[in-house]
Amino acid sequence: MPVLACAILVVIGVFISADEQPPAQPLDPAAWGSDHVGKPVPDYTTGGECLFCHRKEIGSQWASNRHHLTIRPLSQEAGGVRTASASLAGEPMFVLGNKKKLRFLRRSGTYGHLDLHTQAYDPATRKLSGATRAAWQSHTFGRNCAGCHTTGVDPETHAFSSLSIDCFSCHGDVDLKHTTDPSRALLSAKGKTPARVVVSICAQCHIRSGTSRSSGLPYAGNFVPGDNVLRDLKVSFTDKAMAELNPVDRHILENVRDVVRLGEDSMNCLTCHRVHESSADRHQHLPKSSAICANCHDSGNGRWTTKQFKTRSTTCQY
Amino acid sequence: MWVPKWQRDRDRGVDSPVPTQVVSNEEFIPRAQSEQQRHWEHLIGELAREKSKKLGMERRDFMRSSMGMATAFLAGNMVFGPYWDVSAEETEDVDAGAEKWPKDEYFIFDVQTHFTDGVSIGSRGSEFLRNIGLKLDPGKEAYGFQNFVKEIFFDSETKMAVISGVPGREVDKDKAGKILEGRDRRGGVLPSWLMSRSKKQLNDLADCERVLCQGNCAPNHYWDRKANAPDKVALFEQLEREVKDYGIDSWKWYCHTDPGKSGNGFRMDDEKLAYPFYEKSKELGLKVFSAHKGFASQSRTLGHFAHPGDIEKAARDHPDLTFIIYHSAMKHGTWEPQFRNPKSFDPKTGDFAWHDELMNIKKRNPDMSNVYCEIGTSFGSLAILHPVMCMHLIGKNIKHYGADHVIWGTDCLWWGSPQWVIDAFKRFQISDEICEKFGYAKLTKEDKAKIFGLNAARVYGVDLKKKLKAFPKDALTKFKSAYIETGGQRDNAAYGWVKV
Repeated sequence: MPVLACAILVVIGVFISADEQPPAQPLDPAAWGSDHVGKPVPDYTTGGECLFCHRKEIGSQWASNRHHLTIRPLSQEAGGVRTASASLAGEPMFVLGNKKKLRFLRRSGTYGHLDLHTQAYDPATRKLSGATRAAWQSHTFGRNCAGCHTTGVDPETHAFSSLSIDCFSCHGDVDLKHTTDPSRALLSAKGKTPARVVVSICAQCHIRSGTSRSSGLPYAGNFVPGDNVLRDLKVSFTDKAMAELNPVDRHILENVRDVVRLGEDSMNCLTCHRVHESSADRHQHLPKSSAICANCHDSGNGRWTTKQFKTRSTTCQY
Repeated sequence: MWVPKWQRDRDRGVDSPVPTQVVSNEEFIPRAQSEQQRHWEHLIGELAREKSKKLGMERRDFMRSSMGMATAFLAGNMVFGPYWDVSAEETEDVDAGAEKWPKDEYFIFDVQTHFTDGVSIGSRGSEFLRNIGLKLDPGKEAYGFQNFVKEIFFDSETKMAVISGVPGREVDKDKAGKILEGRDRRGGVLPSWLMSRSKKQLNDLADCERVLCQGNCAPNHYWDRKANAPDKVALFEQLEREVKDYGIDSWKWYCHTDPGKSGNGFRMDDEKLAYPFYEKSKELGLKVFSAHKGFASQSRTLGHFAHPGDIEKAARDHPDLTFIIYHSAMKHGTWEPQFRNPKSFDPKTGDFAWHDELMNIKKRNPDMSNVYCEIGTSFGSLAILHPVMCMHLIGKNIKHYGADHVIWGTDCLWWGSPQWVIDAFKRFQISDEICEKFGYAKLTKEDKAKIFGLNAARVYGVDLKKKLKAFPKDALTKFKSAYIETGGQRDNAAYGWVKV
């Protein structure tokens, strides 16, 4: 897109907020469904129980599935990470992050809490970086990260109930009857989960620009799959907000907007992304002429390249 | 593409009495059939066609006979080498097989059997009996208790079984604080209340103790989140309920699962978590602890709790308790590509991942006598895919722990009727070459008798003399006789999933 056009869009975005935008009968994203704000976290079935039966498709790949790797034992990380962590006092036990930056965690003395170390590990330089004062923070993880890196977070105490992302985070509070009635498990292959419910489930974490109305935290309060995440998570769908995002986050927000504001129900995240397999495989089958490709890729000299982008999320630090 | 094994067999016209492909026990993804397995299956078909024609039998009837079973093992030897004790004569002469392998030669006590709560079981009685012997579809009924009785007791030589637990915990109270009972307690696919109820049903029906059961309760199942410690009141209430009310005979622990949302798994040598449980259980007179070890690749965060490294201290600190280590702590099953790679299996030493640690524990503690190696799924799956590793499994278990500390389990009915696993073990032998090279002893009939049932009988305090007199007279034997006389036969289809 030409620079001038981008600039125009940004300028327009500044003057027109989401609520003032008059697209064809925009929907109120928060109007449907319910939420679990103020309610206890459900006594959901944990992954260890789910996988006893669901090993046939899920089990052997789950250990390497990125949704399971939101928190990882330090002992299983590469040697460089372990070596660097040795200089940190206080026995780090876990890491979170990706190839750009890793953070260290340890169990707190209190239930469902992890302490976050102020220093980060940079895989490119293989060095620790970050805060000048090395320290363990007690509340940072719970207030910023727990909602998407763990499962079943108590909105008042910020205590999680399972490390990493568990089946409940996406499939909901599923009972045994789902064996005969697949619709009881959200996102099941045989059950038909409405587009806005699917999008809501994915958006609980993949929208990184929201704020909880109930808690002020960057993740929705006590989101239970099946809820409408946007009842609690305040998100701006303005063009200005879109323009500020990097291509990946814009792609997500645009598609969420299409469903929750414009009523698109023929496509959802799972149309292109397969969570239990390679998430990116399916999108490679899109025709190269698809406009959606340009969100993240450039085509030049007959070669497709992925756009580089700057850090856009202070919460997630990428 | 994943299909139920019965469906794949039906589609291909396969009717082998022995699986020629690893079947998923639903704790793992099985691997695709290997070239050797394909060859084996092909040979079984060829030999069966030839021999049934020669004997003037329908092929299907032939395959269901002892001759069919012998044919499957003979074909296995033709592919893998002479690992099975079988003669060509047995494949054409029922009497030759019967003479060599008399039924009921061994007392078979299977400590790892499962079914699921996928079907309403109903009360014992006519409805229950009418359904026994019918060929059930492979849907939820095939995993239910009725089919469990058929597959375990009618279609195999198994005389006693332990209904073995799976991950899950019961919900003790509703939101109003009212104590819940029965199905309202939920508890997963095979809760303790259901194992207990089924045990009572079958034993009452048989008028003899044929089935024992385990309890799923474990130290991290009830958690006080404020104290970030076990909720001892709730935990001990459940513990006591399972021992006193349910009458369980052993615990079944999955240390790498967290149904109570404690935020972690637990170690069996954890003095704060596990030891109070041991003491309370001792007080109540229950001293058998069974633990799933190995087969835990599913969780990065908790999978390491399935490593057997915590057994040593727990067993040394509690010599009055018995610890049965399920799957012999084999880390990778034959369904995982890693199982035979050099990091997991060293052919020079015969060691394989996590099982070697279980062996090392005994090497370090030669006087330790309260740890037992259970061989469910490990033996069956290795016997199919990697007979040499299978020899190491059995050879090392006996070498280090002794033939009196290896316990029979099959993981059935995930594997269909256990009869093929029983037949495989009857005929299983460690080669002279491997015995010599690794210092294993040849398996004797006495060893097999201990492993098949005498050891479990001792662990569970079964009065074998009394039982062996009672079994032939009990109702289950009568029902089994009626079932066989009216044409009931083992359905060879194993329940599970295979990749095609």
